Amino acid sequence: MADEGAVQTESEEAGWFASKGINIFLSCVVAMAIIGFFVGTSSDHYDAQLAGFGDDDRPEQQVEPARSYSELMADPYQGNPHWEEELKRLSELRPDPHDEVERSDEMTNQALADRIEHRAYEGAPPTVPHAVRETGATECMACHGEGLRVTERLATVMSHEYMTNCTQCHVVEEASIPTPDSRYDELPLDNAFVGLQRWGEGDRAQPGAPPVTPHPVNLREDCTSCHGTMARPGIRTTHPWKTQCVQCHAPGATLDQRPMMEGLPEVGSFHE
Amino acid sequence: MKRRTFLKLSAMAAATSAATRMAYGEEAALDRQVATRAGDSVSWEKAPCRFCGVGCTLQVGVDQGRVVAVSGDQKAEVNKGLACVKGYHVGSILYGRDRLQTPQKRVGDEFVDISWAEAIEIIADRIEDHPENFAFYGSGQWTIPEGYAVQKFMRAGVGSNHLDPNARLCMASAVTGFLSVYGVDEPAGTYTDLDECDVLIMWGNNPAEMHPVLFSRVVDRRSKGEEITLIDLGTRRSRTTDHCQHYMEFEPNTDLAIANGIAHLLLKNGTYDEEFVEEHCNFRGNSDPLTLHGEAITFEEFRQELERYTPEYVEEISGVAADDIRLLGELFGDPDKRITSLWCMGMNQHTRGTAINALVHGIHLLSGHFGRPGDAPTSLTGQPSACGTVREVGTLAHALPGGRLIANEADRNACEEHWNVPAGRIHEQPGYHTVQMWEKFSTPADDGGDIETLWVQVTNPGQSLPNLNKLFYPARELEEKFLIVSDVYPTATTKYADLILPSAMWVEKSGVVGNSERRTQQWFKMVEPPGEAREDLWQVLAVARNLYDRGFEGMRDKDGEFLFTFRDDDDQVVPVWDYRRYHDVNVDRELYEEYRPFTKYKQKDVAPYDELVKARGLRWPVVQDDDGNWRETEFRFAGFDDPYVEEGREFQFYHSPTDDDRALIWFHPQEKPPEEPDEDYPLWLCTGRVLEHWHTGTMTMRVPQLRRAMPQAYVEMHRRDARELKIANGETVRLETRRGAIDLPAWIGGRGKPPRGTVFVPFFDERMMINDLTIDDHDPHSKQPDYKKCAARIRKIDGEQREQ
Repeated sequence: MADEGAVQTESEEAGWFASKGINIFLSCVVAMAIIGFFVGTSSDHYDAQLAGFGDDDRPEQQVEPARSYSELMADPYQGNPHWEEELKRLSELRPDPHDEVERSDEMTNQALADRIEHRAYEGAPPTVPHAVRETGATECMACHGEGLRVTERLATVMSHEYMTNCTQCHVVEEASIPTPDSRYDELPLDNAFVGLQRWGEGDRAQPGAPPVTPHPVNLREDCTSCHGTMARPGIRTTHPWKTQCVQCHAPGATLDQRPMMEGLPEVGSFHE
Repeated sequence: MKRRTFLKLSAMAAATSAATRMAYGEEAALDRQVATRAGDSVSWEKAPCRFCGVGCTLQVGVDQGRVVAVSGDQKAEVNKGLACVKGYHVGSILYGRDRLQTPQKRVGDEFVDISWAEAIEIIADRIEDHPENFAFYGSGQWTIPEGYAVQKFMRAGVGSNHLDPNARLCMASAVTGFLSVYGVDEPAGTYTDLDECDVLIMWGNNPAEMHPVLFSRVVDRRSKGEEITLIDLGTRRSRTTDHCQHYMEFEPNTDLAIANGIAHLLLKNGTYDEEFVEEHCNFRGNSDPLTLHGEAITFEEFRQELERYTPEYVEEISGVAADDIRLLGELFGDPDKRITSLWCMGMNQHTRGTAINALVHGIHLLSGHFGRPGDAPTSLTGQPSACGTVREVGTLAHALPGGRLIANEADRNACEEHWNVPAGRIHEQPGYHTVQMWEKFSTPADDGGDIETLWVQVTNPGQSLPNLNKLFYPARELEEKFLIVSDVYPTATTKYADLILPSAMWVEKSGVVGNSERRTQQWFKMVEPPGEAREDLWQVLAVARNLYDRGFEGMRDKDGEFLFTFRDDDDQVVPVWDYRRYHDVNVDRELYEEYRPFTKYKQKDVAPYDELVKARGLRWPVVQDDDGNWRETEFRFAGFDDPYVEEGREFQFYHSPTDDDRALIWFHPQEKPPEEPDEDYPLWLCTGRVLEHWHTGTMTMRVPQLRRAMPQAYVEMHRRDARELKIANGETVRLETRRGAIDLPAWIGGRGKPPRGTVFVPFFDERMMINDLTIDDHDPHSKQPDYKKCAARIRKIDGEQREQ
């Protein structure tokens, strides 16, 4: 019965279309004609400028032409699938400073090993494991300004003061040049450079004392970049609510290049 | 060590090597275990970066005889603790596994290993037989002591003036520009101007990629709340454009019209600096025939010449909107703005290079935007010692140290006296400039090709010369020609060499270099070179000594002593030609101190070696104050800073070409380029560089991080040009000029965005030799070829045989 009803309804609708269809079609034609008329009166020149596909003989100005859909399809820079939903959950994923922090030597080793995957040596600017559009800092800061975690991927907070020419130091790990028949492999790429891979541990006066900073802090002035709540487990601080890091962790690295006066006597030598 | 610490370190080491094995493979993992030590075993020392002319000082970390890390030197004024991606990865350039490690001789189509003794013997044979047919092709990457040694070796020793450097290809037009305007070479301003300027105009310049540390020094001022107007005058959108408020795109080769348009407005609006011009400038126009010094014209004649360069006329020629020209005219007409101009290859690699250099200096002089902090026309260089070794030491076909000229008898005599060689030892005829030198080398001896033996050091002409099919390849077909190449890796040049000498590089040797802002920097050797690789400088000294031992007259001074005699503290001669004894004396210091008196002649006084050891470079003229301190100079010709300006004078151009302490404001007309797009070749072809790779890529292409970021060359083209030719993004296309053809992938909407009708190809990739296509036409004064403009066409290749 239900099926019959459905069939009935369909045939009724078909009849309705048959009677009103012509009217609907004609209204559409009228509407399009009106729209067309008003569009037609606006300036041709303006449209061409906007779309970039006007008269081809028009002198090329500074406006980049809009891209066709086929070109957009070929764009190598695409968002991750379902990124919109992920973004909504991101704020919830931001850890609370008072969450308990788990740490073990194994986790520390893992964190350090993860780091060297994207660096030639400790202290080298990390390479970028994702595609980059070449438009200065704004895009980079969207994620690296406050730090972001998207599922397993972590965008760390920028560790140094705000600088805008990001690609000066941070280059992509995979080039975006489209190369159908790449000759990439014809040249050997075999380099035996062995970078410094860890700074070791900071000295402690006694067990439980705060360690000194074992690494230089030039361009790593923001400790939260590597040690904050958004950082890798294993090197994350256990007490992120304390923000005056240098209050307890004295600088200890050999490469801090603090201005020192040369030729000073040894401390304590006055009594000699 | 505590047990817990030991366990921790072991665990760390294991984890690190496991990760390394995954990332780099098994063999590398073995190497890498040494580096799992803690950072406090690393020792740090300063060295300037190996790459460009900016001259950043780095801190180089060495552990167990190997470079393991690099950091920007925070005490360095140039880079203030920062570097660019090339600088951060400079350590890796030492460790490409295909480093050249033994001298090699060509036998048929093969290279066979030979001893150093044999190699030196071969070179000495070639020179002894025909010294007049011997030429040296050097480099702006030579250190100052290296360049100075070769300068002396060639002029006083071999007796040949055929010495020219690759810098001829990169900044010769800047030199002739400075000479024609100020009568003396090198910029008046320094990088300090970048911190002080309100407006920065980049003339055909892409510092975001080529001089990134200087560029961020400017753009980061904005982050600190300062206001600065950046103007990109270019022929292609680049990363620099992204940071600029104004992008003014001009038709290639029309920059002369733009500069004249600005001068026109300054005169028309009456906004030129009347007082400055009245007191400090003369006017010049071209003479017939053309000379570097032209002929005097009056202010009225100058005004008349500029009459037709109205904004509308300039727009018609250049494509830059008349309003934009007016904007530039107004900026220069505003005495309260501080304006710095920057340029590099765009203006120098130009058949009108000298002219456009002179014009840009001219509008700064005319408007009085000169000599105050932030007001400077500043030319940048591309090599670490293009200024130091080429311009100051004078390793050019026509030059002698310290700004002296071969053509000038008094200058020759001064050198002969300082070197203690008989008068007349130095030939009065200047040698061949680069293009000529290679042309002669590529011409059979019977047809006048009188260069038969050519020694190349620290450069890669097989890739960087223009029009290789004319200048480089033909020589390789000629039996009598002999090519000697000192290098660190196999290159497009060593491939064609008859003799290959393995060299030490960067911190494998000591050195002194001079950067774009007149800053001289020094470093010490830190690690050993691989295998039998040795210093370029030692190679020259060894050949010189070999010739001396044979009784070759040129290698003796007046007293019969060897030209390169160094003594230790006990006044004993150190036989530095014997490599085992080479490091027993600081040869760098000896040669540098011998060279230093030369620099006083044109008030280019470089600092003493021992002062350089302490400093992060010093900018000449460096003079000693009354209190004994050495003081550098930031603003040359300006009374408030330059110690050579007479007391009480605001400005003094003390090397004025007109001998009246005035600089010259030139008029040069807009002219047509030697080749323009036409029906057969409808596109402009521009060549250049990219951030990740340095020049011909022999070093940077061997660094994994840089290579991965930019693995190969490409041709950038405009979307619509591509569409018309039915070329898809990434499709391999054939690029042709009248001189050659190569195949390479098209990149549409890539890093740079050329306008319609223009294509761009970087020259770093030895597999896609763009210089097979470029022209060898050059500037009449500087002899610098134009790599930026020639006519090309592109087509699909649809399964045809690929062109290599």
